[in-house]
Amino acid sequence: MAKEKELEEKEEIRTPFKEFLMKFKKQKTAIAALAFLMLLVVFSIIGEMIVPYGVDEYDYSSVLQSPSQNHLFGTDEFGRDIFSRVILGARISLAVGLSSVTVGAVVGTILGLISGYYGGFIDSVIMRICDTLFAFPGTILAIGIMAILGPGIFNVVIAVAIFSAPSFARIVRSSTLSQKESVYVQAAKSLGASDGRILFKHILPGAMSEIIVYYTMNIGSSILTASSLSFLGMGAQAPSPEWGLQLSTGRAYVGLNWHMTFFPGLAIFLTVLSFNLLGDGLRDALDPKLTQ
Amino acid sequence: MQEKESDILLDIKNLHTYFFTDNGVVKSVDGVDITLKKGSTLGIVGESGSGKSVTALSVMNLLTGTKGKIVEGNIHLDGKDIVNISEEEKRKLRGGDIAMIFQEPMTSLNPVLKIGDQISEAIIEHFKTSKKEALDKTIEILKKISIPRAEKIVNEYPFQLSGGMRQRIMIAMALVCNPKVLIADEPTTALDVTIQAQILELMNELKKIVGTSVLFITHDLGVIAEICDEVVVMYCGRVVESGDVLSIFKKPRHPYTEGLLKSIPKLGEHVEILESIPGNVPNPKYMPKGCKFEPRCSKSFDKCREEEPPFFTYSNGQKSRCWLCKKEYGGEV
Amino acid sequence: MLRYVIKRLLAVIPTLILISIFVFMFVRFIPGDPARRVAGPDATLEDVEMIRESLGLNKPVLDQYKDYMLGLLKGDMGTSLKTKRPVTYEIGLRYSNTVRLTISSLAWSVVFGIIIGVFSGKNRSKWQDYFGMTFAVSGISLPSFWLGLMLIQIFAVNLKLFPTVGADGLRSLVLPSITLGASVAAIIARFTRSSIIEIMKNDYIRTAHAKGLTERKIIWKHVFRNSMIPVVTVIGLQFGFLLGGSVVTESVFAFPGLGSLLIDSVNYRDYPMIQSLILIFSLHFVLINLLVDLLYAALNPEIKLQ
Repeated sequence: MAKEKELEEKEEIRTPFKEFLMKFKKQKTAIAALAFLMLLVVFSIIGEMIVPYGVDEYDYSSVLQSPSQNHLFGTDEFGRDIFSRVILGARISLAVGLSSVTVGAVVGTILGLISGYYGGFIDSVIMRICDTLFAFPGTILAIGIMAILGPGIFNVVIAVAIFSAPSFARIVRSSTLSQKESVYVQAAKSLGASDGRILFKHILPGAMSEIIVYYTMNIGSSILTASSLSFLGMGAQAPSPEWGLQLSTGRAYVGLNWHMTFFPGLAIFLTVLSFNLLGDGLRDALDPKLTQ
Repeated sequence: MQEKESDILLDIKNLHTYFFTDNGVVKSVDGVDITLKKGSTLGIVGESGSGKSVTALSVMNLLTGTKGKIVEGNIHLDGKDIVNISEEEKRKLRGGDIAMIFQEPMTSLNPVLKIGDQISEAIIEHFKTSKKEALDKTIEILKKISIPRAEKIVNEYPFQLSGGMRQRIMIAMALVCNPKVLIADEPTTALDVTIQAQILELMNELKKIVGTSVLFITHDLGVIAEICDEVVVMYCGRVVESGDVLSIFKKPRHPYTEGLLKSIPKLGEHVEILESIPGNVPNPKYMPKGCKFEPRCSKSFDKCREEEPPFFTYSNGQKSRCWLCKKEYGGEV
Repeated sequence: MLRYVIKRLLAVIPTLILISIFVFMFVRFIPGDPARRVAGPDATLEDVEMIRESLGLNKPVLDQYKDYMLGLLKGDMGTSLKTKRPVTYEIGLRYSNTVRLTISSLAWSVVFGIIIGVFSGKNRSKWQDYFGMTFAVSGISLPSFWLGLMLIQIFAVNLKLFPTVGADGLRSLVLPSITLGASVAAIIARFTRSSIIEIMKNDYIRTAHAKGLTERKIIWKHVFRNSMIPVVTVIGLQFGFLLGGSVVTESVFAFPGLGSLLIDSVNYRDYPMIQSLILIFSLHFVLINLLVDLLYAALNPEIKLQ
């Protein structure tokens, strides 16, 4: 019959992870953002060791000074060095921001899994609650919760977690619903796997990429909400170096003392910006549609 | 048979269109010569990846926004160069002198605009008429191609029409400005067979009424037989055979064309195994050095692997790019 | 279309009821004794009892809810613990201010956001795109209170172009609306851009090119109309963001609106006020989203003609 010729094709074997790394490396802004965030993490951990002044070092002889060699970012109304306080504030702001969205993600994911998997009454209840929570504008809901719980950063974490959770619940629920009927879930069921096992070993991994994407999209806004709450006086309390709080006190001195609000605010901005750029970079790298 | 200069409407010479992707250069069209005579219908046939659609897009200059570019070669319409002109001039030709219809009628119409609007805007753009005049002309052409309830349809939206009807609208939209050339890129592939027949019949009629020359791209030889006067066979971005339809179907002079014809089962014939051309279209990164079809060819020999064959022309105008032709002319191989 | 409208209106009602229940339960969610919390740490037992009485906390829950709902329907939302005046009165004083602020913020951010989004989207990967998207990502990363304070510093204090605080006249709206609208403009820009890019990939855009239409016509007649459909929905969601953001912005600019009233109430533990404000805010949010849904249906011929 017909001759069949074969051409040798030597193609590199590219694993999905390698592809991801390649694409990620191309995003220079994301790398820069990552570098900045690593720096912040370093500050969070060894902050006290590297700052020139203490967080509460009053110095009444040098109040309200503009940036100078001694005080890179100037001093506040108590003579405290703003540069040191900004660096030391990194720990709190990062911790509050990250933990609140993480708690929200975890709670939301669990609710979403249960809601999607078991359906019925429990699903309706959970979804109704989520819908109602959605009816409140985010910050308003957070403020309302703070009004109930009282001030303090721990309550801020709870408030932001509560208002992040419903979105996660929704995403995970729809992923669960579509995976519920799939072949591998049916197979696991027929092998006698328990519900818990199915949910956590099979369905959850399938929803993971969506969860991660949504998580990265929300870290920035969680940090902003948390610092807004501190700015409004409901979150961190004096003498904490939390950035939002620094802006709140510095606000009275706007005019001649721009440095008091500028630097902590800049810190918030750069942090949120870095998370957003990082998130964008991650999403672009993970997106199969962008493969050539 | 010499072709008179004035007979040639569209002359594509040595066209090379390459795509510059992140993974390397893809030579979609690599040295293609095609001539379309006035008043005739030329079919371009080939597998997917043969470069036939890209050729059409090159003629229409619809490559902006993609990674493709015409890197070499020339295209003349009615004697005038249409490649080395300004973007603005190219735009004026599109939809005006050269029109194109595509494969997917379901998605080729804007869902939020009325049918009448979408056809009229072509008229307004090219002839600068008023809205009312354009709408009148639109209704006129819809009636000409026997679309029922023309006055009502112009106020409807695409989602209210069937696939066959949408394709007819597309044809109307393409012809409304009396183009010299109509390029049809697999217009019937996405439609079911009965509708296909209707569309082809429509196109045959239009040939007579409007007198537009047609470049018909397809992978379906049956359609070629029905509607085309001449045919060009493409493989791997090159033309491998060309000639008039009857001659090619009666006696193909290239193994690829032969294979294509053989793979169509004939009505009434009992076959146990459908004949097909073995192998696959080569990976663009690993093109064979000699004849591009050689790896799948049952009649190849050494020379085929070494050197790419030139065109051999027969007395009836048929051309084929195969070393076997040289054998037939007598002499060594 | 009418059927769709009625359907949506009916769907909103259970949400409204649930919101009212949540808000009602609000005070009762306070850990510990709500009355004591409201009265404050310095209150005497008598004060606490008085508060309990006035908030109706000593009655059975269902009765309380009945009173509450009846009150709402009559337009009575209780009395402010701080000013001792009716809640509706306090809200009435400031309502129009917040409306003006929100609408002017929405107006500029929608216009600006869409324009930037369109130019970014149609010039994908060219300088217009990078510029536009840098603006967008900065906009969503900016803390609004920082932006507001910086604007005050530069334009009000240093350049003396605008007033620093207050709500008199158009001038006083400028800085606050810029502050409030910045992140919304950014989000709209991003979303418009991706919508434009998605639409441009469609076959009917290729058809439009094949017809020889000008670039401008293709973008504004074909691409834009289709891209706007999803963008309209996003705008609705952003309205919620504006409502929430108004709290911070009004606080920064001492703008006498509902947002700053909320903050004052929280600081004062004026629960009837807090409750009512939250109710008002969510009510508006739900209604705006409803309007957006209806607008979406009107733009989409498939739904309109059913």
